[in-house]
Amino acid sequence: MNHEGLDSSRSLGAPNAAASSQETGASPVPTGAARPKRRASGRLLRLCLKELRETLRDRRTIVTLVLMPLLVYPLLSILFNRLLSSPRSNKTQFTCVIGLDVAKEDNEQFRNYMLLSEEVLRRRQAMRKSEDQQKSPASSVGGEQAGPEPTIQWWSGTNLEKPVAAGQVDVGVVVRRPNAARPGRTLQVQLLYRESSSLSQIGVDYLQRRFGAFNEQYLVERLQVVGVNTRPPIESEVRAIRDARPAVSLTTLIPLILILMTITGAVYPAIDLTAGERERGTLESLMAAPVPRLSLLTAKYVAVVTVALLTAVANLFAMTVTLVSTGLSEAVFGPNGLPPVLVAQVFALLILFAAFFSAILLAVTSFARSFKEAQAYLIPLMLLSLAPGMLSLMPGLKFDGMFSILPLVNIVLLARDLMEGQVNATLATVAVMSTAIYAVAAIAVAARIFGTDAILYGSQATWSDLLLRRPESRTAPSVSGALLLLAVLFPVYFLLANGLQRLDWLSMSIRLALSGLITAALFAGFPAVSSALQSVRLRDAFRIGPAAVAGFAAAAMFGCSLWPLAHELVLFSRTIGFNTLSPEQIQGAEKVVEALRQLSPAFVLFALAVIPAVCEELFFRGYLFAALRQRFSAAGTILITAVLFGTFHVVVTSGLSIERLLPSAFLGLMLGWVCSRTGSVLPGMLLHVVHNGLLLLIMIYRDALQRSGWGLAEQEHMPRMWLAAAAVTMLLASLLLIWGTRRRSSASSSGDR
Amino acid sequence: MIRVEQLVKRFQAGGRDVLAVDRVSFSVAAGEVYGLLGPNGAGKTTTVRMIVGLLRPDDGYAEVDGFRTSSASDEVKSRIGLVTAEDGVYPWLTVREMLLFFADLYGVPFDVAQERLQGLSELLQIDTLLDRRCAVLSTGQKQRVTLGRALIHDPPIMLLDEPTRGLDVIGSQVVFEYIAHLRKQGKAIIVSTHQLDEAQRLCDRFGLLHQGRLEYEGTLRDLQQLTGRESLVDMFIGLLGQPVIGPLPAAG
Repeated sequence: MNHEGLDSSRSLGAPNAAASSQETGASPVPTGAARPKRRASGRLLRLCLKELRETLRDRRTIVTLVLMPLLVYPLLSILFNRLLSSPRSNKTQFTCVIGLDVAKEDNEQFRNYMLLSEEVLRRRQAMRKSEDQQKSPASSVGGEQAGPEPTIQWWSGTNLEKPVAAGQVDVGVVVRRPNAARPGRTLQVQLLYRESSSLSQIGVDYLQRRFGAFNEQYLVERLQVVGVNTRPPIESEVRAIRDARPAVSLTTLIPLILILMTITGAVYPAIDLTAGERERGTLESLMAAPVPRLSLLTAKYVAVVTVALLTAVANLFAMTVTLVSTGLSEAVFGPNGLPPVLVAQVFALLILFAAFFSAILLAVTSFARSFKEAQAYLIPLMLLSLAPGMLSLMPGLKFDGMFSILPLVNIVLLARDLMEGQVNATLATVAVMSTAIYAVAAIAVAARIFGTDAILYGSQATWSDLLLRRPESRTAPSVSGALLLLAVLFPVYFLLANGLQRLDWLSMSIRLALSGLITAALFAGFPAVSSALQSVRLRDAFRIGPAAVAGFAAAAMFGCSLWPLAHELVLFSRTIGFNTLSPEQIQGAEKVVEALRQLSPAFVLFALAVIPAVCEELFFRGYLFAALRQRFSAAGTILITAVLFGTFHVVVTSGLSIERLLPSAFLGLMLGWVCSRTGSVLPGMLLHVVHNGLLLLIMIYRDALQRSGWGLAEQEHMPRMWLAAAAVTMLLASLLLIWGTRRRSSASSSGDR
Repeated sequence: MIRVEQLVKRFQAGGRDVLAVDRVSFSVAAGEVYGLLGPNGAGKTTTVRMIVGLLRPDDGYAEVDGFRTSSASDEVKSRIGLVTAEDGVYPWLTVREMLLFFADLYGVPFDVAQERLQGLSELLQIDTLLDRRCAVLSTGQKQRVTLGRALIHDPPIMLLDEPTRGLDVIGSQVVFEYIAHLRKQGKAIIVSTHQLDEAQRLCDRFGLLHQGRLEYEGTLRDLQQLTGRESLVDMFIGLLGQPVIGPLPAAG
């Protein structure tokens, strides 16, 4: 690959600082553009350090970083305790204020009743305790004992509604005599309480327990006097079993709080490092320096992520300490408390989230010309990000296909599932991948906006101008445009592929046609529109150009020889544990193949081999390759497109299958190589069509093949002879490709720029 | 060193096009100080920004050392030291950190940057400030730090857009003395300023901008002949007082 040498040498030898050095005698200054790449990466590190230094010295950063968690978690723990302390937990002591409104003449009688009922209750408890000890010492939880016993403070007055409503009194007790004319033993008691206050309810429980016990005892005694058997018809016992899942799902609340706190850490640095540059007046000198905006933004991004992570660490630490020290961790996670592995997993998720949200923040704040403006932009973003958080608080919400690609929701739900100890590896992978793609796209947007003259000098440019306008006509789609497109394509493709699965009531041929349409629209249509918007010619955007005949021949040979290796890679993936296909899925796939056999082979080949091959090549080796090649070396571009190609194939066809990642990425590497050597997307298309077609034909005609002794079972290794033949063909194809394109690559290295 | 050819920039203002810079052409050689003068809103700053490549011209082009701003922006940017009136500093960085950061942006190797930092800080009398946070500097000190920032990559070209705004007499003096020093080093310099008497003493040639047009251009003697007035101040008053006439052929 002779292309790689180009980038570093592209602007060397320019008549550089000669003019400056001739009179001053200073050493010639190598300019930024002419620096070799090695230095550039070191510089990126130093740029990051500068941004970090700047933020971390700022007192405001430190406040959100250290002070906030110190304040927030103790406060939250109080809230949690209130939420968790259902009336059945007796850990905490309450003081309950009971207001008493009683006529003077009845006062003594009521006091008496209260004392007696207390006595009855105590006797009963003592009795039950001794019974329990006889039965089994462990079962002491039960009945009235489990209720919290508040400390009672009496208060007396009239018109109790007011003090109860005001919270001055927790329970109001209004004592009246039913008939004042005929004094008797019965007192009528009305209890006033606030529905919203658990303390109030605890007070009511306290009183009713006593009244009930007293009344019961009274009846028993009276019946005994009459000589009736006092064993009641129903003997009930209430035993409280601790709820395994607390009423308010703390497992969702905790990740949500952690996420919100991480946001608070990232917001200030994000504003400060983007809009702040303009406000301080340093943006102009920054833009006057010969540095790619993407480098500047990357450095800022690293700084924001770092601060966000430091905030996350501080918060996770404070939260862990709070949970453990207040005993809440036991209430949430059971008797073993907070497992350290879980803390690590949640932290990993917070890293992902910080990476995602920092990118979004930078993309938004890059639009702002001042601190105030940035804050105004962030408020809707904050509200928007609260919504998915609230959504995830809904009990019984299942983390599935749709949610795994929804930004933010996927992370919150994944965190919840993590804490509940039930994670679906495939969905987790999709969530992580889509989040990463969104983050990269957001950085690309930020780099496109940050420091443009519209932001720098406040000239009136509309948002569409900012996003779509290109300075000069281009020969390749922009990197940021391509990344944005990718961020749109991935979730849309995932949704549509999943949706198509559900349409199993449609006939196979219609589904095939639909699938072909979707593939064409997404992988050819979207990029074509994007190229048109950027005024890039389609020929250039898709790298459609002539290629050497040898290139086509080599591509055809690769097409014939790659699939045995890809098959082996699938098996290899399964042996190292990437096995996500359930037996039902395999069965379902078998049914699909059966249905395919009923259709015309030409139609099946066209819909499943030709269309996907052509369209995917147009996108991955055409549009994406052309865009990325501007920024990355040939090898880097091949690698990135291959990984993305593999990622897309994880969600392709029958649901999700991680084992397709390796073989597809491998195929992507070979396709990328062919594309890079020949300089055209066309040979790769041929390779792809042949590859897909062969695999399809083998699947459709498997029975016939097996009958004639060419048997090949899905789960078995290939015969050695086949592998050897494939390897030899691959080798020959490689040699042919290198030989056939040697002239092109040497021509391009002198001609390129 | 610097060549500006028929530069045009339009802005939208109140729904209609305003010509901020109207077919401006001039050139500046190495070792020459060019005074870009004119009242507020004449288009000086816009012209300077187009030379650096911070604004895209609607027509025409700027060239630095043979590189066009539009096609080789990094080559152009690396050859220019830019000082503007709005230049800020990073409040939380020390002067040394900030200057080394910019040296890094321009790709100056660390040891060279260190050396240059030493020399510059002595010349600009900021050597005692190097380890102070930028936030505590006075206006004059900040302006000297800004000058140092623009020179840390030893650019052959300096563009100074009102480098003395907000400075007192002594502060301005330091800046103008330094500009004279830079000329001796053979740099091509464009200065835009309102301190006309200083400019008259310092600059080799002048360009008088008014409403986006380069009305007069040349040496002081050329201008005196063209306008029939003695001093730059008088020329200015004349420029503003009389109706605008068509642009004169550029002398460069």
